[in-house]
Amino acid sequence: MLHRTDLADGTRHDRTIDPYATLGLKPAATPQEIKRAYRKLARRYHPDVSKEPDAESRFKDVALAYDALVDPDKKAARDARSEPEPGPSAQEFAFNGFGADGGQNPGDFLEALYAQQARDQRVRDFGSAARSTRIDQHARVTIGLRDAYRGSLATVALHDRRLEVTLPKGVRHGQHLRLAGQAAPAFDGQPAGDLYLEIEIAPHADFRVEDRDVYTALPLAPWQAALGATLDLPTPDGMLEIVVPPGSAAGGRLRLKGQGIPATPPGDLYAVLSIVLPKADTDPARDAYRALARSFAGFDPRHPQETHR
Amino acid sequence: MNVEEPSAGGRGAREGLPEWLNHTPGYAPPAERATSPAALYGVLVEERMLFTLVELSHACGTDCAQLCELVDEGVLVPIGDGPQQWQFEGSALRRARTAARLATDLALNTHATAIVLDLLDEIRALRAQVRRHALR
Repeated sequence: MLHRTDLADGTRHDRTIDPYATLGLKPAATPQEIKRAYRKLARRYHPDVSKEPDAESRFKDVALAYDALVDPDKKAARDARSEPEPGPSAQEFAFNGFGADGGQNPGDFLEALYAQQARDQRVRDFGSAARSTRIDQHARVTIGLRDAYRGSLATVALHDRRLEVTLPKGVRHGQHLRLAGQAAPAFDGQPAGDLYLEIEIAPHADFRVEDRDVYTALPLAPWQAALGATLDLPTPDGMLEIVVPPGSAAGGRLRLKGQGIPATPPGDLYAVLSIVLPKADTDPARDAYRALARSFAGFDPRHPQETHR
Repeated sequence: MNVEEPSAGGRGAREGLPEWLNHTPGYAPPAERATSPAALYGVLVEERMLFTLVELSHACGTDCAQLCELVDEGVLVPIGDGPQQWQFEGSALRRARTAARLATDLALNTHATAIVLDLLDEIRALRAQVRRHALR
């Protein structure tokens, strides 16, 4: 049995993983079968190529299981990129040692592996510091869209400490902030490496972010679209008064130049128009639609350009 | 890269901030939150950093030989003649890290890694296009 520990939102989540079950194998699986199962699941769940919602977590299970079963070399390679992923809404991933309870009756081979990995674990507990060469560290920090507009302070939880970090305004999803010398301290006299914080902007229900541009929906009443209107538009940075021009169509976009993420240069904010029809569920409402129908007797919505009134 | 003239003492300059931050166009301290004197300031990699080969190797936990292969393959495009003089833009960090993950986790050689990265770029562009059309 493998124990996997996630640190999310500062709360530990310990789970136990059966390496064979994780790879969909029976304990009698041959090395070829193990490899085949791993390759297939890795292609499916690798966070860089997968669209599955829980790909990252699934892949970690799969990789952990595979490493435990066959591939100490690859484990070493992955360790070299050692990647605790903490943050304010942080995830941190680390092995939590390998229990001796061994579940599936592991043979001597597995016992030996577990012992080896328990030793690795102790090394890992010292972070990258136990290495003789300098290793930079990576972590992820999740901020709100508003923080990207205004700048923010974030607390980043690492294995051994918490850092308070100023995130400048104008940061974009996927960018990195380098904190010089803030990787885990070295014990061998080497200067500590750098800590790289990958910035993740949390999805927002009302705004969609494309790099530095931001999109939001702006539903209009039919008369607002037809006649034009002045409206208050909520933006990530507060209300903005905008003018909808007469004759606006559903699907059209109003560009608010420079109102996207305030990077250099700043992005734009797009209000994507839609038209919402009022319900015809009362007599006055039905009368209003009937009056509209009379006024537009020749209107053909299938050929709106050819319509004569 | 646009770096504004130092504006020490001018608008936006603040005591106690690292020098480069006062030079950062558009930087203003977080308005609505108390700034903490202990808070760390970082450098925005994608906008303000160039890596040497060794620095990039440290930053992404990949050895220099593998990075050189990625350059040969056209995955990374440094400026400068020869590995000693190479300078990588900040955006190389993400690309090199993704390449290293793909190579290790999916057991890909450098050529296959390059193809996967190109296809991932294409998928990303197509998805963005689909999203834009979905909103129409």
